[in-house]
Amino acid sequence: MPWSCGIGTRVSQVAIDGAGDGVPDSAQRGGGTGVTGMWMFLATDAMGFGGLFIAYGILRVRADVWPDPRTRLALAPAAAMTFALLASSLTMTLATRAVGLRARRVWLLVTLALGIAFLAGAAIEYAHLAMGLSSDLFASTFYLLTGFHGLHVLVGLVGVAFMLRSRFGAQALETMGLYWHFVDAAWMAVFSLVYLWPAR
Amino acid sequence: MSDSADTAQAARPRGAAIAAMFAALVLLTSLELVVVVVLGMDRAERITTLAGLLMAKFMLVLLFVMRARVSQLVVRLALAAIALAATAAIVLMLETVFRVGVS
Repeated sequence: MPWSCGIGTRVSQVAIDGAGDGVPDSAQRGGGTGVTGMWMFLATDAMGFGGLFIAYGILRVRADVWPDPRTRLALAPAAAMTFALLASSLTMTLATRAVGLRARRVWLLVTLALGIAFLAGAAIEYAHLAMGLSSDLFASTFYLLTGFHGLHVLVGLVGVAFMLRSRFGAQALETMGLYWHFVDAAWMAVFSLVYLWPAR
Repeated sequence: MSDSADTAQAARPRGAAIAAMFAALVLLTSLELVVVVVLGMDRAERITTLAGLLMAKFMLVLLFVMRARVSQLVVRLALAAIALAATAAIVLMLETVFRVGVS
């Protein structure tokens, strides 16, 4: 019965929203299956990140030598990338709460630009690093963690770009926003552990 | 409309709340940089401070930016799993760091 009620509510809501910008705003009424499904996905994804972080911590502590991150990595560009991702999270929030499809698209476009800037920063950083994937344990874990996160950003960018090309609803935007904020939160952990925590 | 849905609508952040949330995130990130670059803490203090700042940022994003605090039961279960994974990662790493010996 709850499912049939949900469908009925959704249909009537779409009919009501048809008089406006055509975007059903079900997310404002508590979200739906998309949002719940995204939360479930994020829970499993968080465990993936958590497993990597635990492996990173154990490898780091057990290593005979672990270089200070500041001797290998440039902190200023990484901090700039962090602020870019934070800003993109803000613009995604603004897109989620914006009224009207056009305003949402503008904020999504800014989010897309900031996400691309983040990935460009990561690519430039990779190009300038004096270490390869198999140089040592520090390098391997660095590329694994940042690469895994970068892949998430890339998937998010594809999703945002897809939304820009389509006529999306508020619930879809809310779902996309959840994913993007999670990617931001994951970067906070990567930034702190990989770039900031001091060497032994 | 359910109570939780009404709560979610009522809890939708206003402009000032959004600005405050992201100002706090920027401030906490800046504090992390200050701890690493400016302050001359020893290793154990620095790691503990950074872990605390990280947890604060993480909870801020989870509870206020992702608005997990106003979500449904299923979402809360998923949130519990996320929190469990994050907490286990941080605690295990801290435990290992201190067990091996700092500074």
